[in-house]
Amino acid sequence: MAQSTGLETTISFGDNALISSHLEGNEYAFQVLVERYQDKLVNYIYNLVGDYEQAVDLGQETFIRVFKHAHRYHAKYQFSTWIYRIATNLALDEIRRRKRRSRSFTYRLFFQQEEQDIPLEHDGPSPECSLDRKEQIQMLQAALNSLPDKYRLVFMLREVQELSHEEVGEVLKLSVGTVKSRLHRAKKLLRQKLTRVR
Amino acid sequence: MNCQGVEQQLMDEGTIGLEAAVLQHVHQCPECRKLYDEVATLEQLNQSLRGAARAPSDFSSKVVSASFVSWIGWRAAWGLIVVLLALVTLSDSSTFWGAQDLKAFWNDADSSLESQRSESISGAESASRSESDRDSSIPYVEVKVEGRSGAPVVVRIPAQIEVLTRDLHPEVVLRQASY
Repeated sequence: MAQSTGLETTISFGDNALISSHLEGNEYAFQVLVERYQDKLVNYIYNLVGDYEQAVDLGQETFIRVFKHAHRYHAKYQFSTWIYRIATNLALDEIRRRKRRSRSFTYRLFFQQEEQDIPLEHDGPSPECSLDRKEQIQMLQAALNSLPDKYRLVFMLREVQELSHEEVGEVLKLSVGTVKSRLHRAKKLLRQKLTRVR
Repeated sequence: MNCQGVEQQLMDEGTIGLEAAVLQHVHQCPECRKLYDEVATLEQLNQSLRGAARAPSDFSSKVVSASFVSWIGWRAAWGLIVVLLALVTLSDSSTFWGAQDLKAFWNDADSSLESQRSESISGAESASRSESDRDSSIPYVEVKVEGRSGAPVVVRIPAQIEVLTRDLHPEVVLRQASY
């Protein structure tokens, strides 16, 4: 029955229905899931690891794990939180691997982070005195990279991926209160990093 | 609404959809106005991060193919592990057909060489016979397992295994498998 479900019908399915349909043998279901989440996921991993090729590879690995372990998925959880959790674990593993591989690089980065206080104009949006937008984004990325993982992950999931506090809590296995306090702290640290020393 | 409450709201919820009381305080308080501007700037920059990277155009097709290939490999690996475990378990409690003969052959080479060899040959003939007796539509390889106690057991393993890939994915084609 599921085999005969066409692509157009499958696209209208919700995430949980897609997983069920995939397990029943619908050949389009997994493809639709991939296409639904691929950009968000690659972007999320890219913002964490900072390397596009690696982000694509880890994104692919995330979906392979979803495919392999689809039968373990429980519909009481949201699919998005499950897939973000897999991606987060893979990205963190990669970050840890890198840290182990290159201590000198880590030290260099550490000292750069300590020394840099990244300025950002906040006295109104005057184009004359504002930094170039691309430059600002690079500064934000640098500031984000300098945050401890526990703050960075919460910030990325909530502010960039636009997950709710509850969803972030599910992904990271934290209470909503902890998510809010970490987010608060992350924003505070970012403001400090991005604020020009007067 | 005091400054602490405004800061809490701005940090938790951002600048969008703020209560009127918060907005009123922001307009009146320079410190909170500054915080509001900083949070708003951060939100604008976050917007840019949302589109920082996109998956390549062939991402989904690559992922789907890789997933099926990985899944087949994973299943095959598990199948192999199960078979190996079964063999290890059997070899632990039993003696495979011919193994005891070989042991005796090496231990008692001078006296029982011919008899052991003939046993092995007769064993091979018996295996060959059982192969010829097999169902012509489903070929089997027979493995005779002799336990230390109890009667020997004959395990029939299909000589040919057909894997239907058409139900998996049209892009995955298993052309030939051999061992």
